[in-house]
Amino acid sequence: MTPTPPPDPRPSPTPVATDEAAAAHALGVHRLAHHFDDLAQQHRAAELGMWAFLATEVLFFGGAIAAYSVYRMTYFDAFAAASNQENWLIGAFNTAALLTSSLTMALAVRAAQLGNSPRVSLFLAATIALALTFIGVKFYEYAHLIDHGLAPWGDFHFEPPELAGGARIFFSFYFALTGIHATHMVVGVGLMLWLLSISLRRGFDDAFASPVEMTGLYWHFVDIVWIFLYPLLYLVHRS
Amino acid sequence: MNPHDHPHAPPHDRPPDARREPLARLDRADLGLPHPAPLSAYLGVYAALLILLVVTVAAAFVHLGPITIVVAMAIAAIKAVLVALVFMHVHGSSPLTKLFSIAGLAWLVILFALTFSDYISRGWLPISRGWTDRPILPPPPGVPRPPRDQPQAPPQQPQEPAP
Amino acid sequence: MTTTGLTGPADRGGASPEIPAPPRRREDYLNVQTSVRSWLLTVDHKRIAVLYLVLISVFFVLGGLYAMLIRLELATPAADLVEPETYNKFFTLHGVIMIFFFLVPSIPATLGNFLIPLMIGARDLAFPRINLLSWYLLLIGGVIALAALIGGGVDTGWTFYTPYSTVFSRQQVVLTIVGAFIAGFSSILTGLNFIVTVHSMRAPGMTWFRLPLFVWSLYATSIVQLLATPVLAIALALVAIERFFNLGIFNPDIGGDPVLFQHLFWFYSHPAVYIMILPGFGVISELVAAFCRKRIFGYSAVAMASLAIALVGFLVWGHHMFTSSQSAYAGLVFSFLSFLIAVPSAIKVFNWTATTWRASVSFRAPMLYAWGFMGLFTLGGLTGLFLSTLGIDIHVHDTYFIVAHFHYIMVGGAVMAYLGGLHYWWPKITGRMYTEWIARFCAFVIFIGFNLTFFPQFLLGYLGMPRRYASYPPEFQVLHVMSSAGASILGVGLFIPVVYLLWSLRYGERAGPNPWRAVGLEWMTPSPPPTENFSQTPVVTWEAYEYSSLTPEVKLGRPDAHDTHAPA
Repeated sequence: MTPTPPPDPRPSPTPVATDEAAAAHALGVHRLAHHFDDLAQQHRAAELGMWAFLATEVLFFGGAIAAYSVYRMTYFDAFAAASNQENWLIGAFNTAALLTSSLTMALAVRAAQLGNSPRVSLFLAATIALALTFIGVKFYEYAHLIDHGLAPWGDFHFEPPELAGGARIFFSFYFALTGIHATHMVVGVGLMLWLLSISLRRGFDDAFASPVEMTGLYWHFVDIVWIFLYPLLYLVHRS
Repeated sequence: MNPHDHPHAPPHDRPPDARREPLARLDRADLGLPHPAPLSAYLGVYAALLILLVVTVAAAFVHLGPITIVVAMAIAAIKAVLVALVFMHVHGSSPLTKLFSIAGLAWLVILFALTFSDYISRGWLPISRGWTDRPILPPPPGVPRPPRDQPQAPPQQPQEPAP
Repeated sequence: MTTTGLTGPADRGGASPEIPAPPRRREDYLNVQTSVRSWLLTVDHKRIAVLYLVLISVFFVLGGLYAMLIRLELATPAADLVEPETYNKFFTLHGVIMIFFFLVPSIPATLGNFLIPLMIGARDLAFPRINLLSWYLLLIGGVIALAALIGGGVDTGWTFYTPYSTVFSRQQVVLTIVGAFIAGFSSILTGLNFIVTVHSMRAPGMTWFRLPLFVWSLYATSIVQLLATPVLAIALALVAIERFFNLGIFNPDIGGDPVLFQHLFWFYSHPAVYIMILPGFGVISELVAAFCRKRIFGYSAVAMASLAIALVGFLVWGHHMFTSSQSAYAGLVFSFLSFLIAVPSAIKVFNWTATTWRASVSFRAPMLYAWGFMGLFTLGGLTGLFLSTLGIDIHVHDTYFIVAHFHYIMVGGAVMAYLGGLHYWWPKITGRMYTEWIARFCAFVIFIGFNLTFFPQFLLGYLGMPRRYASYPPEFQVLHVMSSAGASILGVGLFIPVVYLLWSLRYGERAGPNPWRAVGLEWMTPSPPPTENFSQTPVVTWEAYEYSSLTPEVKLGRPDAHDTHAPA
């Protein structure tokens, strides 16, 4: 290692940043935060940040699914009997609704990237509608289970009685997993409503679609969780 | 007239036609931002997801025995990968983004593997009856088997506590 | 921004010279705005670091009070100070507060928040508003935990083992869990912020292998914070849900497995101890380099060891469960992996020691803390090897041997590193120097008090004294009295720095940009730094710890009017 000359106090290439800011301004974007050098850096940081957050969510849901899996391994018969109390068709409908909402969200992101705000609003509204449908159906399912005495709190009863303990654990996990999932969906709907308000008022620029993109990542993740939850909870042993 | 000559022209006045798309992509590329994927990609993945949903349900009604869960999770994994690659734009993203996208999964594998290593091997010890009176998987050859004094009783399922 | 701040006749419209006005102080992040609102709504990482400093100091005092109560009770064999049920609350709250509200945030949220952008040449972290949110989450979590405390406390132990926590405890379990859950979120967001910052906001020329080792350590810590804490979140959430809705997830009466909770809990809580110590490693690397005026021996090895500790730390949690009904085969695997993780820690200790070989070592207060760390952490770490050995652990699990082991690492290690770092960077954070002789005195007092408190506990544990017991056989009393006496000395030693550090804020000697003549980007900006950190983005052309060049002319921007002073 050669002896080091005094460190060079040259400034960073600011001319690019100035053009950057001017270009951004020309597009009606005033969104470059003060601590970033350019929009590309800001976008990269946002993307990494959202993926890091999704990694934590993978472990959050994954921990619950790991616990579920241990019990499923141990009490398979009880879990099978309990799972068959669920209506697989309603579950499939809900899954299809959520997959469709994922598509509409992806299209909303794409529209934002193209600077097409009316389309963004349209697809966001569609996604919200599908999400609310899912949540509504979920409430119906919950009510159904509670009416049949399958809610693990309160008056739980299950036939045959030797499977009742395992079935109670199954329904504990059913409500816990789908409840946490539904909470995440509600947060997603909230984010989408916020995006919708921006989209309707001032619109998104194609140079600044980040909020839509990041919400899209979050929503797709919520969809992926359900892709795994559906077979785990509804299709344990249907054959 | 190029709308960019008017810096304050509201973007939503621009009609969404194909002539605008190349311009939009150029601008985003100029700013270093990723460009949108074609519409066909999204629709194709959506169709695949719905088909796989049908396959998931159909496979559940076929008697596959112990590999049911493996098949179900494999199909779910394929769906998840499709959503991640196309909807979440992992395809075509930077290597760092790809690394971040699988990091959570890698750590989840650690959680599953070591936790399951406990539960699977609990019944193997001759000194411990394991958690549910019988091992979940039989011990590998060479591991001493739990003592069997009498014919094995049916596994005790947990009882409801008396009210 | 003026250069010298002196006003002259021209500023007064050409009037005749009068007694000159006192020099206007250069604007920095502390005096740019002084309203309460500007502090509570700041997005400046430096201000947020100071907010954290205040908050975790409050938690430290609270946790320390509980420690005092514990040691008071244990000075006599009988449970005569308080009922055993109350004593259970003491050690639970001591653990919950110290771990979740002090140790986990301490170095990352104070020193990390302050220094990472400075060390990498950035203007702020990647997500300044999320940074502020992290602070508020810790505050809210703390308030909720305080509410639980006032509402009766919690007696489950900080480990919340089921089924006691889910079925039998009649205390504020859910409320405490909510507080810890929210504090965990604070931790996750801090880790997320640091990771993205280090990836995307390094200055031109600041490659990964030119980063200070402090940044490497915090990067590794952030990985752990990000990936471990969610599993704690779900474990605690399931306990709270089970307790609230009377479910049966961990209830053996209906077939649940309490050990499953322990798996989920320790999957976080073992990596959590690395969250608590890795930043300390980073601080020690900086202190040793600065006070030996030498590049850390084996820089790459230390950097890679940080990552290795972060990764392997996730594979060893079962060593907390050797005496639960966990399978002995799993125990074997965990035991082996626990031996493995001693290796990267040892590499670090060897490398620091090697750095001091033929170095120009100075014994300023931060370096005294570093020496203390190196000795005490080594002791604590070696006893960790004992505990990884299945046979020994069966004997000493749930005894005071364990208590001594982790206090050697957490207090002898992490707290000493925190204090050393606080002293080292105090001039940069506040623009003032602390008083050296009293700082050195306190370092000694802390060292003596600490060893007197916790070394007897190794003996106690080996002789069979269980942990979490309010009463004990009389033959243990001598060692307990020694330990309690040491605790009072330690308490005094930990209290005095509060006094002289606060005193220095007003009366301390003003510090220049680089009072230690250290190498690092944070020493190339004024003390305290301006809000934007650097007047122009630095371009890094030198390696980390370039102490070898004879005249480190490290100037960026203009020389400060109050220039550096040489260390004693």
